[in-house]
Order: sequence, then structure tokens, then C-alpha cells
Amino acid sequence: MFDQILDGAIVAFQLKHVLLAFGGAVLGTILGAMPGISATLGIALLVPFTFDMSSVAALIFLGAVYCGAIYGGSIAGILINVPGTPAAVATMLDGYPMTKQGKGGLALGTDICSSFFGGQVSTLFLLFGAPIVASVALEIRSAEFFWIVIFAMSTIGAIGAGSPIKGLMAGILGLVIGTIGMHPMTGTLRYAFEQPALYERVPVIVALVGLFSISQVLMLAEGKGMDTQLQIPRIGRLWPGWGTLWSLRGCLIRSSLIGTAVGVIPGAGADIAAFIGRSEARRVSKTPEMFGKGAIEGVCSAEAANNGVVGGSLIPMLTLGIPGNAVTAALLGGLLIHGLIPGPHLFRDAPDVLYPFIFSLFLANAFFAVAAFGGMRWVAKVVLVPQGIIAPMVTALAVIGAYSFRNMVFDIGVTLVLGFIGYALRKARFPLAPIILGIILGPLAEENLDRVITLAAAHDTSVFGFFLSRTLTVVLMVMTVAAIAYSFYRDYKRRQLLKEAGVFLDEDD
Amino acid sequence: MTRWPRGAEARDAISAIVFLVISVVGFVAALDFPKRAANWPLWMWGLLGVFSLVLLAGSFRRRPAGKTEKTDQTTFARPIVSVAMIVAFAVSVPLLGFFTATGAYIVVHMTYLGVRPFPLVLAVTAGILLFLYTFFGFILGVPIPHGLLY
Repeated sequence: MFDQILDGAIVAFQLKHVLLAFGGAVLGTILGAMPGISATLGIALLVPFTFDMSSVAALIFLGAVYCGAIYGGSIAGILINVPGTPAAVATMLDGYPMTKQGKGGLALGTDICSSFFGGQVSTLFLLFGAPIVASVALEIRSAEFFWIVIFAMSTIGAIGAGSPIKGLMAGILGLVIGTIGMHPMTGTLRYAFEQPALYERVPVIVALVGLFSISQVLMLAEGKGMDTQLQIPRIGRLWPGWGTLWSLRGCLIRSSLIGTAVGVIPGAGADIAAFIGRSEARRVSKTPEMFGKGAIEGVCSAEAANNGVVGGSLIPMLTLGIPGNAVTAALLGGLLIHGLIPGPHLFRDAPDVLYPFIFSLFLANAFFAVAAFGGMRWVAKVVLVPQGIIAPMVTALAVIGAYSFRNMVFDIGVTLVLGFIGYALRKARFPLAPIILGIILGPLAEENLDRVITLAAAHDTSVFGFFLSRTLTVVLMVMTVAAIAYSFYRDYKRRQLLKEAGVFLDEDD
Repeated sequence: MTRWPRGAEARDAISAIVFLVISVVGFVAALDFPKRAANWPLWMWGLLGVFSLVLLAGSFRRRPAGKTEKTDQTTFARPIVSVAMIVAFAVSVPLLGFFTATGAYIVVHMTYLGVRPFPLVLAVTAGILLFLYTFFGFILGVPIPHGLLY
């Protein structure tokens, strides 16, 4: 293993890969800073850019974009109270008040350092933890894998979404869309509407681009196309000082670990990690009353947890092929088009791709920090790009990106149809992340279930009986039921509390 | 008599009905598949139908009289017009060629969304086209759809 780590470091530090990591980190930061472009959307739009790259180069580039975009979303939140990504909402709660107090530079500088620290800690866990998880995962068989997928879909749908029932419905919709095309066992064409382009299923990239890009274009079209009143406040000095950073050491370590742990859990994304990190920081703070009014720990904890998710979320994605959120689903799409099938075998079969990728994350975390400290005055201006410019630009990128996958005009149509459906679902408060995860994981789940059915018949038992005969499968089944039950319970308690307070909110509040 | 939901509940009721209809149609279609190919979609459509009924039932829950609800006040005029523009763009790509169609679409959509002044619109459009051509056409060598024009 240590030989592989060393080889990976050598490849990651090759000049072209260093430049790709730098470019990806800067581009990711810029994309994340633009209100209206999330990390998921950024990666979905950039995956087609990697078609001509080697697997290593593509992963390094996309991983760097991921790191940069998660950090970049906080810039607009701190400066103009508009989060660039959902994960930046927690940062904004204290970051923007700091800006109003003339401490915007301190907020941004703390943000940069916290993101850097959180990202590096989680990447360390990824480097040493993922191979261990992969070696254990090699023992997983079809029955266990089926329930891992179901558990992941349940948590993503029920816990990650605002409404558990809508999240589960979105996940099932994704699983159904994943059935479109030729059934691998029987050759039956399912829901292909006699379109040859659909025989091989709906391409993940096309679905990703359509669901996230086109739906976002329509969301942007609702708002003001151009706001000439928006201005960037004076930023001031960025570097918070070693003394400040030392005083935040507890917050940094705790929040980074929280982010890493939350990132591993399917369905719990950077936004949840940021809020949990902030909540914990407030609980242990000597001045909890300052949170929400410009507490520097509020910015530090949210951002360290936020970027801590990056490494954590890559652990299940790389070792099990289970993306835990929409961003890693987009990354998974990038892996798939380069012929890399994530799962426990990947660490055994392609360490020459994975270890350079992991090392490049260390570089990317450093690069976005350097770029931010050096170029914040220019990067900050990105938050002023009008939505009226972003929307058509995203459409153009989405169309060419969808077309360039298979050079089929049909894919443009699929992208648009899914995009319009995605917009309608968003307006109806259905989450999109479970849909794309269902599209990716559905075929895997069905394939493994098919094997289980065959094995159960060979053992002269029912499918359910076969599941019950395996300890790990029973554990996963119980965890799935518990996750769904907990999410409904949590939603019920929330509504009860609000009802007692005489408040009735929209579904997503 | 149970009244039709309002506000957010109406949105949920309509969503539930749409999902229910789709579930029934998908379920019936799956009955024609061979057993092995039908198992998975039948289960998924069935589950989706059940959850749709749960959502529909939940949308009829009553709220005490006099309590106000926040509802989405979005007007859909701009998104609907944007949909029409995007569809027209997609249809025109194989007819006019990618770059011609993209240029026209970006100018029209940006102007509609309120980007001003017009020279800015033209400059941004030129920049995006240059970027797309340089990266996709030149660096990646992706075969760009050509139509009557370029």
C-alpha cells in the first residue's frame, strides 16, 4: 500500500497534473462563487470537458473543481448574503453580519483557512481509510450490495430531502428511469419508445446535465436578470493571523471531523455537515449568543465541516460505487465515462488512477486557498455576474455537453425533457439528487437482486428468507427501516413543534 | 365534505395525482414484459403508487381556520417563455448549425432576461461562442452539428 501511495504522489506532482489541479481549483472556486451555479451543476457542466483527457487527468481536474466549488459558494454568501451553493447557507449566517461590521476580509480569510483545513483533514481520512473500507467491501456479495444500495437510496431520499415522502418518491422515480433500455438478462426493451438511442439506457451524463443544468436555468429565469444595485463591499485584509487561527484550533479540528463523518453518510451533504458543525460549535462556545451576529467560530465551523465533506463523501463513492450526494454522483458520472467502475475492486485494479487522484485533492485544497488569498479582489467580482447572463450560458454549455457525449442530437432532447421535468419537480418541492442517484444505482440494484433471486432458487428458499440468512444483510435491512422511520419521526416532530408555535410553513421550510 | 386543498397542499395533491397516474401507466406497461424483466419495474411502480397515495392523503390534512400559509408566489411567465426559447434553440441546432443557433439564442434570451446594454449582450455572446469553439471544436475536436449555416 505504501508503495502505491508513493507512486500516486509522484504522478500527482507531475507538472501537467499540478496545472490541472490548479486550474480545476480556480475554476471550481469561480463557479461556486456564482450564485445560481452549485458544485453539482459545475461538475455536471465540466464532465464533457474531460472526454479527451486520460482517466487520471480527468479525475484530478474534476476533484479539484469539487474542492474549489464547495469553498467558492461561501464567497457570495459572506459578501452579499446570497449563497453560491446550498452548503454556504450556514456560513452566511455569521459571514454576512461580519461583512456588515466591516470585517468582510476577516470573514473571507477565516473562510479560506477553515475550508483548507477541513479539506486536508478529510483527504487524509480518504487516503488511509478508503483502502481499508475497500478491502472489507471485497467481502460484500450480491445480497449485501443490494441492501447497501437500498439503504443509500433511503437515506438520500428520506434524510437528505426536506420531505421524506417526496425524497423517497424522487429516489424511486430515478430507479424507474434507470430501467429504461435493454434489460441485460433478457434483452427486453423497457420503456424505450422504439428509440435506438435509449436501448443502452439514459446516459448518466445526459441525465445529470438535464436535471441540474436546465432546471437551474429555468429557476434563474424566474428572478431578476440583472441587478444594477448590487455592489461588493470593501473587503480589507484577508489574513486572519496566526493568533486567531490558533484560538480556533478546537473549532477547526472538531468541525473537520464532523464534516468527514457526515460526508460518509449517504444523503447527508455539505449543507447538513455545515449546519451540524456550526451547531456543535455554538454548543461548546463560551459566547453562543454571538452566533448569528458575526461570530468568527460560526464561519470557521461551517466552512471546515463543509469542505470536510469532500474527502468523506468520496469514501463510499470510490469503495462501494455509492455516491452519497449529487456532487459525487456527478463525479461518478465522470468516472464511468472513462471506463472506471467504482467499487471495492477499483483500489485493487486501478491504484495508479486513484492514489494520484487522492493526492491531487491535497494540492487542490492548497491551490484554492492560494488563489483566494492572492486573487480575492477579482474572484469576488464574480458574484456580481447577472443571472441573465448565467442562464443562457449554462444552457449553451449543457446542450453542447449533452451532444458531445455520443454526438447525438437525440441526447439534447433527452437533456431538455429531463430538465423541464426537473424544474417542475423543484417547483413541487421534490429533490433532484435522489433521482440521479436512482438512475445510477438502479441498474446495480436490479442486477444484484436478480442474482439473489437465482441464488435463493438454488438454495430452495424465498428471496426474503435468503436475505434473512445473512447477518450483514439483516443489519442493513434494519438500518434501512430505521433510517426511513427516523426521517418520518423527525419530520413529524418538526411539524408538531411548529404547529404548537402557531406557525405553518411551506413543505420545504 | 372534504374540501380541495389550497396552497402548498394543492401543489402536493396535484403532484401526487400526476405520480399516481404515471405509476399506473408504467405498471400496466410493465405487465407486458417477461417475468424476469418485469419484477423490478413492477415493484418500483407499485411503491411509487403507494407513496403517491400517502402524499395525496397528506395533502388533505386540515389546517385550523385563520392560519396563514406561505406559498410559492412565482409567476411562471418568464420560465415558460424561457422554455419556448430553449426548445426553439434545440430545434434550430440541426437546422441552422450549432454556433448560429447558439449565438441567436443567447442574444435573444439574455435580452429577454433583462441584460443591458445591448453591446454587453453582444460581447458576452461573442465570448461564449469563442470559448465553445476553441474548447469543444478545436481542443476537444468534438464534431459540432452543422446545419444550413455554421
